[in-house]
Amino acid sequence: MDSALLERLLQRDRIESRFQELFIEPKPGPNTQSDRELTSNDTLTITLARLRKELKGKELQIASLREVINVKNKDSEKLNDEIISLNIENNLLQKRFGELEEEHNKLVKRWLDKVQQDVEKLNANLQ
Amino acid sequence: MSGILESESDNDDSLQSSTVSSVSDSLRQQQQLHQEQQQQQSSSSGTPRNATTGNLVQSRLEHYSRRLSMLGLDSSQEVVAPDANSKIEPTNVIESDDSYEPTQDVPISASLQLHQLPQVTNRAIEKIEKQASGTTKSQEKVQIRFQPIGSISQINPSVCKITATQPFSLVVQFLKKRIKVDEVFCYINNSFAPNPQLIVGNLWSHFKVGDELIVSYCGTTAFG
Amino acid sequence: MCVNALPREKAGTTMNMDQIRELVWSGAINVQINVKQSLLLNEVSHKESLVNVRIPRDTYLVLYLPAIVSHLRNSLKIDPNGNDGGTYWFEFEDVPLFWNYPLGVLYDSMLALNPPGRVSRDTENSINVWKIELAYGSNPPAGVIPLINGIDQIKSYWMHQWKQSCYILNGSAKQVMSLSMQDSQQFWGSILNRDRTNFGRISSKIIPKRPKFIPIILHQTLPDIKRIQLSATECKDDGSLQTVADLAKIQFPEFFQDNQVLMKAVSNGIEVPLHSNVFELYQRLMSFDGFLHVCICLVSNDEYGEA
Repeated sequence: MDSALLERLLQRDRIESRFQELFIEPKPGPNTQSDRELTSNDTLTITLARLRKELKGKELQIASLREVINVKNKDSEKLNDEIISLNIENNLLQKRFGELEEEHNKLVKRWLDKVQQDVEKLNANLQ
Repeated sequence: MSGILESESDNDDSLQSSTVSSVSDSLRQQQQLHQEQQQQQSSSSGTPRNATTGNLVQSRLEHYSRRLSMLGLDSSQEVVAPDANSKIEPTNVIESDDSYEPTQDVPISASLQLHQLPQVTNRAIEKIEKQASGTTKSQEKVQIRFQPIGSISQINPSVCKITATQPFSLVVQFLKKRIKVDEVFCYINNSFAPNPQLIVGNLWSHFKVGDELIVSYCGTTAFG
Repeated sequence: MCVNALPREKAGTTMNMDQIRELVWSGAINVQINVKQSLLLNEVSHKESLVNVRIPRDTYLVLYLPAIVSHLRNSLKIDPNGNDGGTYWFEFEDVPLFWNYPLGVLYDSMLALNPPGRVSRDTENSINVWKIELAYGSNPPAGVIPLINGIDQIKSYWMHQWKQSCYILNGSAKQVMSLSMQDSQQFWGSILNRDRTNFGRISSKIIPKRPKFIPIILHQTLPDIKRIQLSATECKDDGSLQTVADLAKIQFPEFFQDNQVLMKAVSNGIEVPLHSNVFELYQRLMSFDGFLHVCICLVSNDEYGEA
């Protein structure tokens, strides 16, 4: 078994090691002293950190503003729908009103005519 | 019909969104118009036309009242649900609302291999999938005994059952909720802290003592 | 007591075993880490958004996270030193990688690696690179253990993996618990410093000559991703040595039809013969976390035709 394993491991390494010079071999563990020197207290690093924080704040702001816009859009859609339906209502009611008015006028005229007729009849009878 | 409308307008006190109150305002206006219309209908010799416009208004009113009632029902449902859950659950069964099993998608590169398998293997895979969908119905439970270490509060009851296919992380979550702590460290057989992704059934069959998996817990790290 | 147990000490085998352990320890993979778009500053060029690293197979990828992030720090939107409650994680083709498995194991399982297939495709100019993505957020995907305490958390997890495997091997975690402070520190140190000597020395205090059970984790990728932990016995009920095939037949009976075998066992990037006995394989191919990780790969149609 061992010789088979050895052979296969070596073959694996041949494949997995090709062009390894193109790849950095980093050190594991927390950042070493030399890296910490780079993250020292000079003004550039401080400004950078501040700008990053601001960037994050702005992004959160954008996200919440987008949400607000979303909600407002939905609301305005609803309101528009309502306006449309209320307009339809209004139109129908106007039409109805017009019809009722017409009918009312017709009835009044009929009644007036009837009254007129009655008066004429009465007048005729009296004579 | 108007009875429903009246109860809807009672809901207006609890629902405070501007859109809802504007709907109910227009509803009230329509209600008034509708009532006036009904009065006029009864006094005049109603033509068929009156009926149709009346129906249109009525259907719009019904539509709005349905919308309002839907809104009303939703908010009351949210309030009821959590209470119902905590009452129904027997105290010694560890359940989760979403029967959560940590499954991952297969990476695309690997799934390409599925197209280059012999027929025999494809059939075998079909069989496996069928079995898998069959056994998810089985809710076999295993027993866990909790043992506190140090000054941490005792959980009641100290023996619980959990579905075998759940990950260990669910046990830890359950424990944290029950004894009301933010952080707890769990160990198997007072020896090691297992990978929380491991399936409880697996742990139980390997490390059980008698018929139980012994989980000791502590507020701070006890065993390193 | 196994009927077929071979005598443990054999000069030739110890040298071979040492060579094998050396290759297991020093195996490494070329990895290209691409930062996810959501983490990058707007004007970062493609070249600045990635880093090419070579990481040992037998380690946790996240141990190299500080170095990786340090290389990429000028391209990131977030503050590498900031602690806003977020955590990093890696993904391969949008599938999150669980940092608590050795890198080699993740590679073999995510690719459902078929080593002979890779060999046949290999040429002089082939390069073997694993392209993965770096992500960051306060809500890592389900299953990813959030890294809140950095290196200490990783060390603690690794220690518990050893306690668990010790428990499986010996019936108790005593051997790990009774390591001296110095040994314990050097044990972890050997992982960070890639010091095989110390690792071997200390792990031999934990691994017995006659194991109670053998800690194995099987990784299945197709048809679904599953990880199965086993405590295998060295011998079967009939006294013969337990082989990888025996374990596989119990877990994946559908892949053993009549006398056809439809799957392969892969560990540390190589195909392991199914008839290998489990403890010998453990001694040679166990990972730095005390477990023997075996990935299941399916026999391809071409291979099946040839068989």
